[in-house]
Amino acid sequence: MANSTQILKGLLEGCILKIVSNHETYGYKICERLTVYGFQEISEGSVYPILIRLEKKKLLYSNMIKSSLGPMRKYYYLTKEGYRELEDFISSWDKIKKNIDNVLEG
Amino acid sequence: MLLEWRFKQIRVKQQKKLNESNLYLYKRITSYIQNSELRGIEKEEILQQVVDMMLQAQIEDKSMDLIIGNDYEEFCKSIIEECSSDKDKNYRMLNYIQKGLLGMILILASLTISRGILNSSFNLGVTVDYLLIASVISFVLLPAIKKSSQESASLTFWNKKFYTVNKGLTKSGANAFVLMIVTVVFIRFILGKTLSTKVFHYTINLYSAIPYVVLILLIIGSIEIYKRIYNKSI
Repeated sequence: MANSTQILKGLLEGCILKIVSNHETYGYKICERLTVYGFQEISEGSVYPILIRLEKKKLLYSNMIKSSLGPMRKYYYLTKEGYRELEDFISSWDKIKKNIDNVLEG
Repeated sequence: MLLEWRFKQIRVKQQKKLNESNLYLYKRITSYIQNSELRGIEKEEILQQVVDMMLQAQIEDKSMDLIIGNDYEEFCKSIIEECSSDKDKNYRMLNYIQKGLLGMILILASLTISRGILNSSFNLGVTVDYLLIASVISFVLLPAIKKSSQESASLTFWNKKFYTVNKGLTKSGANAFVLMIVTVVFIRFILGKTLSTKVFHYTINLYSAIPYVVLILLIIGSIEIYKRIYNKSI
């Protein structure tokens, strides 16, 4: 099932974009949200590297604000490109989902 | 530079809040990231996020696997990979040359000062032998030690004890040391055969070498400017 893990990791990018699009958020909260949505094992250890990737791709931007715990915390926001990418992701996913449903329903 | 220093101050203060086992894990991550080729500010930004996420997980009594996964080396590797993804081969090569030249100048300066203190006279010059050793340390040994330090970050408690007895020298650290000696012997052999063994004791006077020192400093400075422009453009 190694391939399915890879596919799911790719899908995580889209899911993270969606979570950030709802409201500004930070690394730990994103991990937590993904766990709540059921992505527990896949998201483990991979959220922060994905956030760096999305920021490098300019789909996200961040601001460092001092957290209540003490360290400087990065809050992430979606860029215009990020919103476009999210729309593409949603429409691609709809198509894939529909196609797979068709196959599975035989 | 100032921001990097500020981040470090915050991090050092905040890491004390981590419990023993989390602090151990955090130190391993720190060691891995610190010994990478990332820029200082990049390292500090990453470690700032790591300590923040770890503190929050600790307060909420959640497993560190949620943030780090079950293999922190993989976690660090993927972070370094993502951060370096936009740096091309030229950037990496120039970065290596810059660090090598800077290291060489610092080693030569320290050797000159310590020789001056030991001999109670400040003869501002370096022998060809010193130059050779400083270059090999800077271009071969130091990068290899950095790599080796990343490796030693993954040592278990018992391994750590064992390696402490051996002054922290890991397998690749030992290989680097052997490689350095082989390189020095090889270059000395070539120079000795083509020129003469007397060449090793020839002292390059600082005053006559000033144009070369200035040239090296200019190269270091130009690479730094290139790196800054590069990082701004991406």
